[in-house]
Amino acid sequence: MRILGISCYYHDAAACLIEDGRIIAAAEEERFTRIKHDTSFPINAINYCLKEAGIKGEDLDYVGFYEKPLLKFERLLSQHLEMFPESYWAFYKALPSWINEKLRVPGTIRTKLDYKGEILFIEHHMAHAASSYLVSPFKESAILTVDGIGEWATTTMGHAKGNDITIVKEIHFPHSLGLLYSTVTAHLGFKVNDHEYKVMGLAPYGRPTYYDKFKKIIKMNDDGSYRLDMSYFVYHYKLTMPSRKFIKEFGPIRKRYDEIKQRHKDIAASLQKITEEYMINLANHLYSMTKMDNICIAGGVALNSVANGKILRNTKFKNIYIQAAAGDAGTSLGVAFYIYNTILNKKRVYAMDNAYHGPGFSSDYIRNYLKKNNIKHKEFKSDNELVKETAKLIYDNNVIGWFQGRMEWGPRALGARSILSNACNPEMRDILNLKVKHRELFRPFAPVVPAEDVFDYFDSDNPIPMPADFMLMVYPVKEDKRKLIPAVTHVDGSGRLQTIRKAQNPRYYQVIKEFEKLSGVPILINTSFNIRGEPIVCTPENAYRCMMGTGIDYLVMDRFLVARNDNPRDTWDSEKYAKD
Amino acid sequence: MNELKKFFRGFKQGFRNFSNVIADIINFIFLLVVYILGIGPVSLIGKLFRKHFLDLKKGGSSWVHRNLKKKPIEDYYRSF
Ligand SMILES: [Fe+2]
Repeated sequence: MRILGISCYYHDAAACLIEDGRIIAAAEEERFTRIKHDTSFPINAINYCLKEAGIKGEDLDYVGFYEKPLLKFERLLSQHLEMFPESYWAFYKALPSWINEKLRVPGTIRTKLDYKGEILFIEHHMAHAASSYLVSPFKESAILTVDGIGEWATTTMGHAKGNDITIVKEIHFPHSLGLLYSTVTAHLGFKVNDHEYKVMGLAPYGRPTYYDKFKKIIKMNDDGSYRLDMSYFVYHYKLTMPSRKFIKEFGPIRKRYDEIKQRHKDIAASLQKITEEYMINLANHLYSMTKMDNICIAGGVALNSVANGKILRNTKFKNIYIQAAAGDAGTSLGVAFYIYNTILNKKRVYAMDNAYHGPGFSSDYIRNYLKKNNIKHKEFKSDNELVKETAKLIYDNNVIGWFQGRMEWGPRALGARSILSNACNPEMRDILNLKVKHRELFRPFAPVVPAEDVFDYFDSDNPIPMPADFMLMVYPVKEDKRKLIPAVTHVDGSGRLQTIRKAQNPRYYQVIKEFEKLSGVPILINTSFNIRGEPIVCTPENAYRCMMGTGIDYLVMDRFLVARNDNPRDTWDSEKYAKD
Repeated sequence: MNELKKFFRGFKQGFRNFSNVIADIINFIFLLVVYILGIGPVSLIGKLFRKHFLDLKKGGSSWVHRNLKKKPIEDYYRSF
């Protein structure tokens, strides 16, 4: 039985195809269109999924959509009914897209996919809950979902047993921890629904001096719920987010390219503290409600890996699971599994323990591509030679574009489309920024470490939770090890690590182990393989273009090594075109 | 010939921009009418009867109890 899940028109559009309860393919639309966070109908991602399965749209048994559009439309109308006449501009801007696409989902699916079967609509937070629990290794679990906004819900609590999920209660719009985070993101001059992770990265540079002010804005109730004082916000009737009162309290909105001052860092630190406190409070309340050992978390706020890393040590939960695509892209997966496991009551046969569900390219394809384009390259004779030579190049402080196997599902590069470099070199952060990333200096780089070595370097939960495999947990680097891996130790001594197990990605794992033989440290820098402002690379063409437009020294693509210096005619300057 | 082609291309582009502006104006007016005649009266009547369409209160629990569980498959065919 084949089921296609679709999410689109709000955050990251995505598609996921499952067959008999296992993932065949899953990908975000942005990787194909090369438009970051593309929200449009994910026809390219769908076509890829169908191609991977060798089927056509008409061969699908069910198609699922990640929300109930009419419920969402009802919420939109409620906003305007409540805020009339102040909301006209938002009404004028939003309504055409509702009429042209959002209310026409069934027609669009049937036409674009040539599909005549049933289309199932699942409530957004149920799709989030399913996206985590149904692919978790748990047989029963408490479930917490927290995002910006679904139809009405912004936060839900529930539990699951076997195939069945129950959402017990929820907090409704406009009260939203996710939208509070987005409001501050906007106030700090970053892009909403994109740069929230920058606020998280900025937080350790500040002191939470605005904490009390935030406590006035978001009030915690004894029953675990929270409420926003909406006089500080305008997002329920305008296209902007903070109100004048908010600006009076926190100072003027920072313009995108203005200097980041201590005030901005302190606001970020205070917001992060509040977010962690409220996530932990929600989780504790959920525990007292369910008394279960396991917790599954989903929704955009579940991408806050600093908060995630504090859940187990501040609650009575023993195990945690968060799926690689915890945000809205993941709901396409959630709806597909919800149809299969819950609605159709088919046995759960799958737990997601790796994120490699996107497009992959054969050695023959890549060889042909390199030859056809006269790209000078070398073919490794064996895997042993590949991992040894790559490790040596990294040890010699080269920046490596690492393109192996199927692309990652979810927002993080996890060793399929990654840039790898030497975590032991204190200069490496600057080198990477100068050569490739050109990003804000406050942002940390992430370490990748074999799962069995994690306790030597990090004060992590034990056993290490599976979400760490998806770079969704931040833990303190052990104090005596911080000097060994300066390039991946954040200013507060933490690291947003990825743990890797050999079975998940043997080549990647082996390179780290070979690097350990040279340096004594089994840790590399792993950052996303992309040009600034573009999505992570998807194809060999994207990867080669990215290397030649940036300062990446070598590209290790499948079993081929391409040196930037060997192909000078293809160099270009990506910074001239960066859209970030 | 090339000059003529260029002229027509420019003319076409200009006409397209002009029609976009007209479409925007019509949209703006049409939606304003819908907003005032459709949203306005319901909103005002609601306010008269102290009906709130959003929960903007400053205090109290914000939990909405759902007990949302699996439903018959036909329920999922609906987009509401
Ligand atoms: Fe969401």
